[in-house]
Amino acid sequence: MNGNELQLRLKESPQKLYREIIGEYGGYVYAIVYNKLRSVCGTQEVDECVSDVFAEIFMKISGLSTDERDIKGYINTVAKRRAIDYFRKYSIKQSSYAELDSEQIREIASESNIEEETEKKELRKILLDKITELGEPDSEIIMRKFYYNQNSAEIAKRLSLKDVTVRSRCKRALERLGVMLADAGILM
Amino acid sequence: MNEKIFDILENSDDETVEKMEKRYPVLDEEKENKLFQMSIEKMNKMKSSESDSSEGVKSKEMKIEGVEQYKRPVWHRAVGLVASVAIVAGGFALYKNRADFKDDINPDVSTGTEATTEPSSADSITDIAEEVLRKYEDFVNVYLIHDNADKDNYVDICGVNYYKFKDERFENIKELRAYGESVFEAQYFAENYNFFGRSYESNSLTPDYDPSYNFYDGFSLDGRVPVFVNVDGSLYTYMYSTEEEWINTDESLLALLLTDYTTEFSWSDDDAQVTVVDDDSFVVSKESVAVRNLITVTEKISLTVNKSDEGEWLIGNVEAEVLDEEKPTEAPQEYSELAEIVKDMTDKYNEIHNITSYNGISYDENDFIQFNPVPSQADMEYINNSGDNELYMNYMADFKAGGMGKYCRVTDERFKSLQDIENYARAVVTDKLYDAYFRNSIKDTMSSYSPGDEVEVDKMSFYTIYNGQLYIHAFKKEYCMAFYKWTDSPVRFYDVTENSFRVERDWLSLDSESEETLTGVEKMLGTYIYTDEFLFVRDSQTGQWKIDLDESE
Repeated sequence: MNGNELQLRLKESPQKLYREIIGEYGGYVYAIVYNKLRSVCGTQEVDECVSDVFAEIFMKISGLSTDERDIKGYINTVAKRRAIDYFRKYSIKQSSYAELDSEQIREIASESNIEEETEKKELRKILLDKITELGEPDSEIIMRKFYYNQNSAEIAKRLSLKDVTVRSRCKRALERLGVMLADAGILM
Repeated sequence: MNEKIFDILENSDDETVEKMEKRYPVLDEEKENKLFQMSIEKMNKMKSSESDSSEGVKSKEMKIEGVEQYKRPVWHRAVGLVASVAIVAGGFALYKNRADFKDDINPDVSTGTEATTEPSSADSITDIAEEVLRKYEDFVNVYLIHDNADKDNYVDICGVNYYKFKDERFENIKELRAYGESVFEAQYFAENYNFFGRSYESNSLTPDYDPSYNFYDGFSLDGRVPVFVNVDGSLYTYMYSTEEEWINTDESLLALLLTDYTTEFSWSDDDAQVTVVDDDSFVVSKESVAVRNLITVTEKISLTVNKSDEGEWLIGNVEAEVLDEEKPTEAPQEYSELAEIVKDMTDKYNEIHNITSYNGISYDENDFIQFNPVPSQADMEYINNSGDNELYMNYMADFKAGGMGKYCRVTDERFKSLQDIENYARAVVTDKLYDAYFRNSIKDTMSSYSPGDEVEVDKMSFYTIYNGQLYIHAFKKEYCMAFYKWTDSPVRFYDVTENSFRVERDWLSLDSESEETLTGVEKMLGTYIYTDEFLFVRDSQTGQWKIDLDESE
């Protein structure tokens, strides 16, 4: 959806437009927010953050530029900013309280950070590829269980399976994943 | 395999995040609708704030139609199911739907059960009616009552548990079908009680979901689950073996089942009424009492009985009229005392949550100390990785605006120290839960700093002691998102034993700015009803109830 289409639809029916925006970008925003807040927040806080993002977008939508660029970039920025706000708030309870001097705190980018990030990116790719290789529904069970932290009942409902099936498949899939990662040189 | 490896997916780059979202979308329509409602309500609030601060003119607010609870309580679900059954007209009220199954059982009848035949000269219609009523009651107890299966002897067929049938009169589907056809006319029986599935060999069963083994295929028009199957030549049924299992079964699976959860059925002591239609037909009506989906239902059952060509008296139709239905409201009487304890303790739990997470404690805004917060290393790494300059500028703007390093003196007379807060919490929750949820909030990391010192923002603790007094880190109001208010719905009990039980209690999500206008917020946010589950355990030393950490899946 670009700025032009937005303005046209806004004139026709704002509520319908807002619902369409959530339909088109809801998963995207949720993924961004969850990816940032996963370690510090529960589902309800993630929902609050996501709805903050869309509330802000809806408030500002009439002021968005009427050009051909997709609004996705704008949505990305709003989502990340809100996610950081929430991360800051909720991570206070969970930080390790390590002492750092002000030079370390102010450090922007360094070579070691770039190298570490490159390595992490490679590991993520391998992990996601191996999860995909597990096949359905195991790959989805694994992601929902260990990344999205959903419980077996929630996963079972989503995939139309029984709880006990989800649990037994999950256990076996995790074992298989461990072997596949080890074969790829990743030992955990 | 260490599950911590999944943490590496956090703080991923945009490309990876998008890939995960496309492959494993987490939102379904229900969740999207919920987020939509929340977003619109927040937008309306933001518009109101802007209008109030300008010319006092209210912005036009958007209304949302068709709001629903986020999670339906179990008691209400039970009522809904019974209501749908009672609406069924012209058919057998104890069943939700008909289903046509194909099966591979030879329909030849070989019965050890006798049909009601031509009366002898000494018999009367009332004797026949009495016999039919007796058989009908027996039939219901065989086909529908969910405690006649061996809960310790079951097989998993495509994710559904089938339990070995305990009634020794019927070894397999063939015998059970023959029995049914000795009570009902063949066509009526086939249309209403054809709950039979396939025959299986246990060594070929696949307990896991496997599309190629899907027993729905070819068995019903709607994908419904057959009630009875043969396994190794013996009769098995899907009926729930326990009330707990039924309560914990998801609604999407309940929708696939053909029958309600019935645990009792019997005729009342009232007299039956017989209406003779002609020499070959009569109607007998009698009041019955059943416990269906945990609710006691009184019905008037009318059986149309016809004489077959062979002289057998068989039921050709069943009508049911609900006379009275128990309405679940408060928790069962035996739990009323516990319900008061639960309300008191969950109120306190809520308070502790607010005190330790959401600035939910009274403080003096004008009596404060000020530190100098600086960006956190974790945040800077995240922003730098994104390469987004606007993100960086917006983040730094918060620091320039100030206010992030302010600690205000607590004025709540109950809490003069961190120990006071800790004691209050420990009186309500177990040590395990305290350590998991509250210990890190009731800490002081600021004691080595003096007002005016630089402190990394995500290292600032919630509370600090300064000059012997308790101070709280006063966040910007917009960060204080979630004060909670319990609804008036009754609490719901599960798994009650002498030393533990579980409860559910519903609550509304409110923000701190609305706390003073709860009624208005309730109306606005009345749709955002959440449900909290609590595990209560008895303290082994004091015998008092406490809220415990629930680590079950």
